[in-house]
Amino acid sequence: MLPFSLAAMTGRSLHDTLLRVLCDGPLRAQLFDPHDERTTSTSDEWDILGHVPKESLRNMARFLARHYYGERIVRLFRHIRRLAPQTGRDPLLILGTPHARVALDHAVLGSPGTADEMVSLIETFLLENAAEIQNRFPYWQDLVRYQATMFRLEARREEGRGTCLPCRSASGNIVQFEWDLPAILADLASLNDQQASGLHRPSLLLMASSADRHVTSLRCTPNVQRLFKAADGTRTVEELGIVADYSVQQTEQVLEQMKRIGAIQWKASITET
Amino acid sequence: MTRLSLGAFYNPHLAEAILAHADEIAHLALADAPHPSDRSWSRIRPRFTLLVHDYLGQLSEPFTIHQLDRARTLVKQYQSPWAAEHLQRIHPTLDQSRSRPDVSLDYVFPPLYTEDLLQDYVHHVRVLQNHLGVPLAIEPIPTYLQVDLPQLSEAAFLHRLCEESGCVLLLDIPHAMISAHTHGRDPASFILELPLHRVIEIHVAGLAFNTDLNRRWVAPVIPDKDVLELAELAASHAPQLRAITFDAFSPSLQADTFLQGIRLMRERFA
Repeated sequence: MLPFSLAAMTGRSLHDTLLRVLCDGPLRAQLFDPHDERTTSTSDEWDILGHVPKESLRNMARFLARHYYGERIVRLFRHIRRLAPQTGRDPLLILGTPHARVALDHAVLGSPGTADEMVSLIETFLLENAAEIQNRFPYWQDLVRYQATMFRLEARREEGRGTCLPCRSASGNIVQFEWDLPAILADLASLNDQQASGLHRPSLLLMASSADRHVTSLRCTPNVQRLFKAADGTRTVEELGIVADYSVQQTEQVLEQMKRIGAIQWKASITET
Repeated sequence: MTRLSLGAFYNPHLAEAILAHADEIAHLALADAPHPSDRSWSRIRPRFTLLVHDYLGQLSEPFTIHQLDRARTLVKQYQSPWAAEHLQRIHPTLDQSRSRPDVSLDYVFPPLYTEDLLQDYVHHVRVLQNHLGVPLAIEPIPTYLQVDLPQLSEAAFLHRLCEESGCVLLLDIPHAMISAHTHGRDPASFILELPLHRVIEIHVAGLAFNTDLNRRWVAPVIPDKDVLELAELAASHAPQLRAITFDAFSPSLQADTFLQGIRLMRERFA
């Protein structure tokens, strides 16, 4: 669907369309493709933006996309970046590569697809020929997977389905790691090889991104894992409590916390229903 | 702040350098609330005048009660003599039907200077300002894209915004230089057309070549001679001016650059 209405154009409607065009690579391609059938139903907004120099629009869009994903790499790959002086691999460098330039030119800001594309580039950069790094930081692969999961989840939104029963959100996930990631993250800077080896024990994390795109990770117990898996929008709080071996009150508390961090969707609390 | 105050943005990673040179820095502008783990904050807070420069909301749209309360809380916490917000528009009108995805640039971007948007900005600036209880300083954002639509000039838009809403102006010199370049204008005459009598604060910052935009853009580097001279020109026409701020805020900013920027400002304005 094209990002304009048939109502009379205003400064606001034109600016809305401009913002959407800047955020959306495929939409920009439509704007400048006279043979694209989707652009034949024209509007004043579309006509005016079609006269903005293509190069300027593309440059600004790439600049904005570079800033958008650069900010996210700094924030969501911060632990990997703290090790960059020792590993020589700063994921921010990926934005300077020709592959990233292509990805930025086609990016849909904030979309799961572009996040996946950026993370794939970053993972390749961090994990390829990384035997030496893996030797020095034996939890390296887990750490990369942890940060990559955060990056991916941040781009996943709650679907906003109107379910009254708790339901897992696309912005939540439970991930098993070989290493005790929370303990490693707590003291990454001062962790030496001997200390790290003591942390080679599995950890289970509930990771989720809230509506305001704050990404959280929490240690997850088997009860919480069962609760999360069972929350498919068909079970009541009481039924989920039985699956998780929680009282109704405990189940409600855990669900409220999951809802707050974006792991589940739940329109109404049990008291409201 | 009774005299012209010289300061900078608070960069938490440079807190110790800032504290070590506290006698050269009168105020700190805060783009983000201090992180709970910021161990220097307890020493920073009482030492400097603090200016709210956080993201308060998009002034083309109605503010929620939560946004208004948060803004007022920040002003109270910092005891900020005024608050600043960008004259920007970074996300489109909220689509109530949710048929289109909510998008945001997450980076400053100017509005179109049209009559309908002016009325919206005037209204929401008034609402925010009334709630804050201190002056609201509006900072224009550089224009890079030229859209072929009848609009007010940036200067005319700002004159009317200030007059009709009662707000004051935060003039960022590099922003004005970039906009002047986009419009093929001489930066000095571009700046002199702005409502300088409403300027309460000036930002000086560096410019560096940007490979995406293929021209100079704001960067965390020291301001050059042109920037400082234009700042002097603007200051000489701004009777309400109370502060000049070195606008460099980035995790990559080095202490040397930060302190050199402060010194350059002090050479001109102290």
